[in-house]
Amino acid sequence: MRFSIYRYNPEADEQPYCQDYELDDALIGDEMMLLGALEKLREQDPSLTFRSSCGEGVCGSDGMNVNGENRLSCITRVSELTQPVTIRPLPGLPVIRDLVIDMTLFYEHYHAVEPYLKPTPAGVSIDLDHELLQSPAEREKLDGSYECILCGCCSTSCPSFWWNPDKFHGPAALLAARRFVVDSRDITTRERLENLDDPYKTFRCRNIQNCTASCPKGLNPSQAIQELKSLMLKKQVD
Amino acid sequence: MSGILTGLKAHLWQRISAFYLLIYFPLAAWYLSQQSFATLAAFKQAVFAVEFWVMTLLALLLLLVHAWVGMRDVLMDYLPRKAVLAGLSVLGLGLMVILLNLLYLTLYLMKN
Repeated sequence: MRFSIYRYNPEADEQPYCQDYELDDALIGDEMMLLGALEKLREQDPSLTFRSSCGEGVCGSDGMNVNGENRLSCITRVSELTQPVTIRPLPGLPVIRDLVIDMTLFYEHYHAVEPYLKPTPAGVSIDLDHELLQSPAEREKLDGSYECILCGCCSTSCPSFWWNPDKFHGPAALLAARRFVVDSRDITTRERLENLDDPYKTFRCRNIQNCTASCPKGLNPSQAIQELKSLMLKKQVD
Repeated sequence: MSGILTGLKAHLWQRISAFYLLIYFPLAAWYLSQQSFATLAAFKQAVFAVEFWVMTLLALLLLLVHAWVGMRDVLMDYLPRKAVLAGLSVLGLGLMVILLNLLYLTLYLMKN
């Protein structure tokens, strides 16, 4: 099986380039995932660099662009891919080396939406003797948002994020924002929505929907962003 | 929540203006198709009929709003960051000139 892989070592290479690799078909089983193939290729060329951890689509470490689509290599079956398999780093963020990108900006946007519960007013500590109860219906509202593994496949497939990566929060951060805006236990809904009401932070979203198409967990960040806009309107009318 | 035509307000105005224009254009086309333009007087009477002119003026104003939000978005997306302010200023100035022309035309028509 043939692979064409993006290579770039900023300490040694002036320009990035694509390197061709060949993997013996006998080494590739029907159930083999792309991550397994990359590990075999790394045995051939130990300088090949990529991130991976859990190997089962839970940690979100191994996001990469495979044949033009952002995917997690550990849950992408090699047998489904057309040859040569072109593998590039996730687009739109700086490359550290080969398939490893610098996700600092991505995490900064995630932190900016304050992705944690704020169940008490500022300065008031939470009463640890009492649980923060939530009805099944209220809990159900979180479905589709909390499952995000922050792999970055969505944000790095979003043209709005490519154009304004420092100002547009991007689909992953906005999906997280939506998760805490709709949480019945959080008391800062209005503040959260006011912080998001900005021409760059939220309203760069143009409903392109690459985010939804590329999410390896089957989530719908695009819909979450539309919901945030609707909630902003509702809060303003209230 | 937001300032003048930023964030949510811009988003809303773009949709409100789009909705109005969607209704206006077919209605205007239908209305004008029913009129006779045989003489200049007939043309003036049809186009400057109060109800139609008010609807048209509103449509033109909302078209300016729609253009501002849409063009602003395009400029913010595609222009290099350093050029955005200059681009928006030129756009705003251009739209302002059109607006002033419209106001002048309205006043002129009201007088005559």
